[in-house]
Amino acid sequence: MKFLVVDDSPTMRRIVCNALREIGYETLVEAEDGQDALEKLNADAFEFVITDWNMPNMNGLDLTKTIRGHASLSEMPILMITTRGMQEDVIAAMQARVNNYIVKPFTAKILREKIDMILKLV
Amino acid sequence: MSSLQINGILDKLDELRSVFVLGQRAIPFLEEMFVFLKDISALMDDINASIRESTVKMMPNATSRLESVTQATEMATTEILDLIDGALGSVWKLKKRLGESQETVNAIAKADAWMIRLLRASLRDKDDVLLAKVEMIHHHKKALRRKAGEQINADVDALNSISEKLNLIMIALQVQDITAQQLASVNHLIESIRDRMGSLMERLGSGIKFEASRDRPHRFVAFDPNAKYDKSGARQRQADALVAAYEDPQTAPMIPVTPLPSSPTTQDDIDQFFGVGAPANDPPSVESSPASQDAIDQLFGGGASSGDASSGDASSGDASSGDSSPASQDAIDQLFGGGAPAQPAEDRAPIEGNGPASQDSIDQLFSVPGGGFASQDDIDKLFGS
Repeated sequence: MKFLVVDDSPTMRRIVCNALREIGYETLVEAEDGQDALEKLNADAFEFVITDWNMPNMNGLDLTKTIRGHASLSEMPILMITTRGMQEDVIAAMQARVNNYIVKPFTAKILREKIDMILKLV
Repeated sequence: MSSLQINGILDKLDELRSVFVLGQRAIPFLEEMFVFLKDISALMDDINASIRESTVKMMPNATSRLESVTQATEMATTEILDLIDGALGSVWKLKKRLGESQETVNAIAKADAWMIRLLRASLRDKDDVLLAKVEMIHHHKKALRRKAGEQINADVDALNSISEKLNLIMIALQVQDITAQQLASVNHLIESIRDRMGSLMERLGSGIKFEASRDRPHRFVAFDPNAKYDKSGARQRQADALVAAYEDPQTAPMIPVTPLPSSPTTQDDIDQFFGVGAPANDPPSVESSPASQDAIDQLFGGGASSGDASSGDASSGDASSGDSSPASQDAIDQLFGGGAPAQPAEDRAPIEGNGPASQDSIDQLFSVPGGGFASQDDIDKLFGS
């Protein structure tokens, strides 16, 4: 399964990628913001997007909305991992149609659970 | 010349004399006014210099230091992640070797089993003594293989434990991202205040052109003002409940949403005060408008705004038009290092040198009877506003 990991923090990208490898996913591509992610999504085929919310140029919420509005990408599984844990944030993310939501700091166990849940539903 | 004309001249002379008398009476007042203005001028220079220093030097220094803290923690985190990657790589290699060792042990076991079958077939009923010795050696080797297998399993468990701990360290490094966002939030606040102060200084005619902080190329704007390193899992549980409720509204009332402790004033709140919009919500709009004077007044505990703080119209100059009550004289005196206003007349110190003007001297200048304080209305009248 090919993952696209989107986060402006190089630290977080590494952490998420290492956690994914630990879970057993090896095909990982990184993007540093929503804009970069869209370019990579247009250039290559991915099966799962993990995105942060707060990013320059294009944030994770806008990225999600853009993906959902795209004909060929609209069903892409999207997991948001963010520091934003307020109720209105989660609701806004769900309204933008993310598949699930993780609040930082997360554990590999939570990451695995959420990915499994999403893949079961998709 | 008629007596009427002479009377007219005398009236004019009387008026002229009154003007001179008034002038003579006004001279002490004007002298004191001169001394007061001299004092206040020095004081204003000091305030001006202080604001200039904090706006031009201290605030950029503070933001620069905070940015360097973020960079340093990011570098340190990268180094730690490199070390963790290296350690995890070594653990993975060791586990692979142990796996190979286990396979070798298993292969030896198969070979031994094959050998013992051949020996049993060839020695049974021919050399039972030798067969008994071979069986004994075979059992001993089996026990050794079992022990080797147990050791390999124990080593694999130990390596798994090390790997798990390294992963936990790696996960804990998320604190770097979270603190970076917290520092960015503080930087945003400092820069907003700096922009406002710079704009204020320019309007006051300090002659200094301030570089707007938003023009600085490396400004970090994508942050969550509420970012926190909370390992309790409460926020995740709440998010899970909301996600579940959103996906299945039927179960929504049954899902308890854990009330989270209310956080202190957030960046969003501050941004709303400043009328700049939360950058975290809207990262593309980096060009945020400056905060209004009302917003700054509110931030610093000033009176309530009339509600137009979010307009962000810095040029409206309506800072005094709101409902905010004027600062008390006590507060002003304290701010300027003045003494207690209720000081008895005999203890009143004269204005000397560049020291701050006493309340008494101000009272005298404004001729407030009984040594009371001039009201804001009096001051407004004096300045014609």
